[in-house]
Amino acid sequence: MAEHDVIVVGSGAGGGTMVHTLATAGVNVLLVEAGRQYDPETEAAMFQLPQEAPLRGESTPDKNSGFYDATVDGGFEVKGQPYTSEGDGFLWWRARQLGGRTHHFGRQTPRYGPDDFKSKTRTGRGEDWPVTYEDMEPYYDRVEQIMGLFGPDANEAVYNSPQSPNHIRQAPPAPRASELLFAQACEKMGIKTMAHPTAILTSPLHDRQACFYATNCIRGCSIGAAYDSVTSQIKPAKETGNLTILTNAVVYKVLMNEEGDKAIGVRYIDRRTEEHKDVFAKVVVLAPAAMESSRILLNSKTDKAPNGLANSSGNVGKYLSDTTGASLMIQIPKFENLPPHNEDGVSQPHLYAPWWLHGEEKEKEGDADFIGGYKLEVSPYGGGRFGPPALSDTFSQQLYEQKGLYGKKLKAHMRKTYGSFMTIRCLGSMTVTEDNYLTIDPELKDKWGIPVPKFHWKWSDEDFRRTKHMYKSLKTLAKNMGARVVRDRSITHLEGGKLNGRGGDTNHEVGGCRMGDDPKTSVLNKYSQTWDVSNLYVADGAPFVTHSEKNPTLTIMALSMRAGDNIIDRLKKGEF
Amino acid sequence: MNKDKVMTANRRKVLKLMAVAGTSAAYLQNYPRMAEAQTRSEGYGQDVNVNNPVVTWDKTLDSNQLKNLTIIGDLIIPADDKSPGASFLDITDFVNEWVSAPYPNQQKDRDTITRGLARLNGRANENDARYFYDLSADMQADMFETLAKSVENGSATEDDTLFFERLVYLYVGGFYTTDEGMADIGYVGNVPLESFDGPPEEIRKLIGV
Repeated sequence: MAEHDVIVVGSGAGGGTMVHTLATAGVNVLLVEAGRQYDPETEAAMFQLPQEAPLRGESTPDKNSGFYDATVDGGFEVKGQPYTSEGDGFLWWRARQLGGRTHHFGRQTPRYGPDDFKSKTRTGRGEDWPVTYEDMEPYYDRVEQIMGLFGPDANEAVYNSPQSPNHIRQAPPAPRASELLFAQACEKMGIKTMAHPTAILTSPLHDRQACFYATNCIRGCSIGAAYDSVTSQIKPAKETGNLTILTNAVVYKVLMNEEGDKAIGVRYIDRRTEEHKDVFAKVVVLAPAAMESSRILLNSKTDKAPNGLANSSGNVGKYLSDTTGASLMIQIPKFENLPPHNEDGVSQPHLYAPWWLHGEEKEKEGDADFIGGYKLEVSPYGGGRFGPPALSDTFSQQLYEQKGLYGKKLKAHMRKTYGSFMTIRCLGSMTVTEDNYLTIDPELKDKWGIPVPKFHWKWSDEDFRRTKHMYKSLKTLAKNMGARVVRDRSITHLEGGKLNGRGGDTNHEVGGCRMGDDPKTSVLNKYSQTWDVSNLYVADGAPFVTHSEKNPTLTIMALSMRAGDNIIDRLKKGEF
Repeated sequence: MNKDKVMTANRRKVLKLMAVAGTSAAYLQNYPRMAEAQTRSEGYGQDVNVNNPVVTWDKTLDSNQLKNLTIIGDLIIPADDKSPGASFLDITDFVNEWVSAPYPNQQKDRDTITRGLARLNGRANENDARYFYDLSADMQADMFETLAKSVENGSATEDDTLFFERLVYLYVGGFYTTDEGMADIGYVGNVPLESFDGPPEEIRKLIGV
């Protein structure tokens, strides 16, 4: 007998949104998280300086994003839980804590635009999603009201980059000095800039405090100013009395009934005792992060589903994507010897330039022959005056071109150039192809004997062309900012006429269980319900069909809420 | 150029002394580990208490290496009227923590720096000193200036270039992350603000925005 209405596997952006949607609607939910209990209110490091941490807080194989990063038992490697990759290679960021990756999350939450859901219809290229922007818009609104965000005046929105309505979004912080220069330079290029939609509060919301404009958000947020699923969704869901939380439970299999047509629960390993246990519910929702959803389904074979569960289309694990990106390290002579001023801000860009070339404009450009586009921004990391100065973030830039400098001249150089180096960057779409997929490694298993994923990754020529265009724009931007390029990453990034680098590097990996209108070519329907098993849903990044230049988290959350509504509706109708 | 010639002339002597220095360095590095099984050499792991940072490994440079580094630290970051020198803030202790860490990059730096220090001792031997720190302050400064110049003009060996660059990086990193170092370059953040209003008028004028 089912002990719960719904089991939700994973507690990050997708799982957190799902449990909040269900529990607040009166549904009895069991949340199963592979990591330990984690509460940013008591655990996140806020004002601690690099000088207080081992190795001045620099990254290590134990803590890939530095000592103070919120990630627990994770990063690109999780001990005892390996993965393999071939082709261009793949990096898989994981976390093992309640709230998953939402604590480490950069909090950039742009909406997908109408064209992003209908690439094939609108541009003749890519694929269509089974949902439209109009379908998603009410969910974006609702998610944003729970999550909280600052953003630009919605009336400023440019084509295909819709913004949160003015009654939902909060006022953004003022641009930093470097961003005012960035905006000026973009204007010269005919590119509009505006505040970047970001899941950080500038006014209190739902008992959460406003940001105090210090401390990097990847450390987690003890005052609730930056969204994470624990503070904004799991705690309120728990207060309803409808949510039970099971931590340290690593789910590896969906359990099916004898007929093989209905999910009855999941099987997990207790990380501490290594016992294998089963839990049961009427509905199972997978939200352990996109790649893990495919792995669980492929590892849940039955007689009826010999190639993996919900895989009659053969599409589970396929059509993976990440975002593409480019960056330049620049130096701005005008920023030398500036009087001290506080540029910390929210630790994310305050301004950005949404993708600006569409239709005829894009065609006229000549070399913009690629699906989607990219956004431009000044990185809060890699130079500038953002946050306490640190070795790799600040000084490596200042020392980058120096040969033999030491002593009094070194000290003078450090004073003169501090704050004048920075990184300008792009985040771009990726073209989804059959070349990017995961399978189950035929040999390697994790420490509990569970087969691990093998990633197959290949950047397309289109990704190369898009990235090449990014560098062209970045170089023009640098020139217009009065900057010189100190380090031109394009030399190695585009070496040999191909895109070099590994997938997963931007932590935006999605796909593997794409949604669609046709059960033969997709794993999920438009409500993120598997075509093959009616009471099995996927609510992380796995449903993504294509990948625009917008960071994926908000869309993961909106899709999850939409799936949650569908589950509530069907539970009410007694369909499960 | 003269110094290069001297080194060539004394090559045999230098090599001999460096071999001795190398042996003794290896001995000093390894002996405490053999003698004391209690030496801690573990990383801090993937689940750390970030509010109570703890260095989980012992600092293992020997006293001769530390004495040399302390002198070099002040050559890299000397005291001036705006901020103290590296030794005043014991940045060498941070360098020791860094090169004693059990992680691959830090172990690579350890190799670079300990071998570089042994080479400096070898050059000191040519001047009838056992260790670099035994030289007069002027000679230490001269020897370091020669190294820096050779890095600057590209004549230094790959090993010497790396030795110099990693030392500068670590002393800069250690120093400018202290309160004194941050004040020196003018970092004024990490304080709670009611609102973020952008750069003051003075800054806007200076950068023309």
